[in-house]
Amino acid sequence: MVSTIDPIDSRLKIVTPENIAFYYQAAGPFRRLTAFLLDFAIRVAVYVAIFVIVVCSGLMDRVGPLAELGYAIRFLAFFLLDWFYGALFETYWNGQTPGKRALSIRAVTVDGEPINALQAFGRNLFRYADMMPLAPLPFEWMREALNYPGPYLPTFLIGLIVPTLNSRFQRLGDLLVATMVVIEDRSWLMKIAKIEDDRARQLADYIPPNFVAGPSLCKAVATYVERRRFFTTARRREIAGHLAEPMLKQFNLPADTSYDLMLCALYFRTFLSDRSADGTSSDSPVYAGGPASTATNLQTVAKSPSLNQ
Amino acid sequence: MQFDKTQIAIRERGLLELFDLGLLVGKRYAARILVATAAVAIPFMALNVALLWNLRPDLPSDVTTAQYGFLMVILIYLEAPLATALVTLMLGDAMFHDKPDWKRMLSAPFALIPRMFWLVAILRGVVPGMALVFLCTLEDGEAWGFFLFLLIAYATILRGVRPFLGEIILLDRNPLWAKDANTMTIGRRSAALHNPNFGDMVIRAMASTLSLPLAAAICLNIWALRGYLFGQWGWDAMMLDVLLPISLWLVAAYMAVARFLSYLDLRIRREGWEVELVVRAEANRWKGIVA
Repeated sequence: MVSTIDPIDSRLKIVTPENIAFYYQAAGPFRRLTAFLLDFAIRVAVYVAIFVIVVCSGLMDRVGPLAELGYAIRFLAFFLLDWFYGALFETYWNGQTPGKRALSIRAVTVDGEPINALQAFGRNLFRYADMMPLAPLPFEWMREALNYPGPYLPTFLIGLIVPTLNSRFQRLGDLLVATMVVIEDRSWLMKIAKIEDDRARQLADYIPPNFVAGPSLCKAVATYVERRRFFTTARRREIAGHLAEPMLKQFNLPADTSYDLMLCALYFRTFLSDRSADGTSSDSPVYAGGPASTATNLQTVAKSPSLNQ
Repeated sequence: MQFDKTQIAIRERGLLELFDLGLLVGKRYAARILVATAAVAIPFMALNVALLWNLRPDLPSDVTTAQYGFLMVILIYLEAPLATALVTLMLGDAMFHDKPDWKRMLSAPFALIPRMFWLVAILRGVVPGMALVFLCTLEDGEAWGFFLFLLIAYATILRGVRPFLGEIILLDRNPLWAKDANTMTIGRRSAALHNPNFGDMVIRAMASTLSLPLAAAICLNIWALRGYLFGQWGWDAMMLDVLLPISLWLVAAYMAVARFLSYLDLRIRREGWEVELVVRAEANRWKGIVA
């Protein structure tokens, strides 16, 4: 029975008003937590640097307005770093902070467009809400030592549960200003694989000329050939055997022909040879079998020592 | 069953993405994961209370409460791979079916039980660990604490470098022994899968420590909620025997989901599992058309 439920994935499809579809991969809480921790470390480092500068300047040792200036600088630095670090970076770095850049993630609108300053500020405004609920210190001796029995420890469960409940992994701030965080996909598209083994080209000639691979067969063969170089010989044989074995029977080719070579030959024939795509007669039936006479001619190709791996 | 129509999208993923995907899988199969976890975890909870029974008369004192809670955490840590076996079986079944079926899932051959018992319960230190915890609760049992520490270190290292033994036993179902050197046994499969990826396994094990703050966050919230609602802020028997284990089992269930996804990812990267699924699906279509 064919599945009717969408497979679970973090990939999102966004259709623009021009009816163009893009695929984005939503960044989940754990990847974003790592970026958050990096940004947090940077903020702490900058604050400590400012604190050291203020202390070294001697402002803290003085009395009167100069000492108050030292406190004011520290307070201002803390306030700005805490409330504007994320918003300013995301505004001027197109949805990224240093932490996000390191993790290759970016805040965008739910339509996939760059966020503006208001959205950047809005989504960072609710950062403290993600740290909720706060829990008191767990043991009485800890509460007594701190002399504070109330809620104190951030548990970040809101920041974990809210993104899990929606498909875009949006936290509260994202939901408020209609933004989301996506992973920047820098992967390369696979080129057409090269078939350097001449025997595959020779074997391709023995595939019946009226045979046309259907779309799903093309996809299966292409998937296999593009990845086969990462597999051991035994694993190639194991995977390719599922398809090559019935195919050899259908084409009346020798049963001991290398399964790997058979799929490579089909790939060559489908994507690389003159008969591929335009070269094949369009009125030929898909999955047509080949003439029996091909088997005899193939013996010389199939019996080569390294072919039957 | 159609091999290329899986319920979880099959492609290579990074470690953080796998943990994120675990949340989505957990959301879709939440009820089934909870039932599968509870079915094994509840008997283990009762067994754990029995193992720690010797400490109960002294429970109100702070030192014993900490010791009791600590030993309870150790027991659940050791038991987690065994207790989440049903979650792994359920997810394995759910991969290819719209609705996981308990009957189909539990039709796994009974040969898996002795394999799980020997390889996971005995060799991975679950049963020896339970025995050592019990010995630690006896009078003058502190000396056993050293052996318990060694056993935890041994189990942690094994689980770190070969984390997918349970998945291999339950999903691949290779035999335990084989005279033929070419037959893929559990040991050979485990070595073939884990050894070339030793570095990845270590990084994965380090990333798995995120279960500690996660468990602490859930436990603290349950404890605080109980405190705010009922004014009970102590770490009494209810908290130590029921609520603390529940929070730990929830994290164990989530980590089982993440481990299952990591196992699939390793097979995709190492063995081209997604390629095999596409090729097998096409082979089935081919056979159907030819027939």
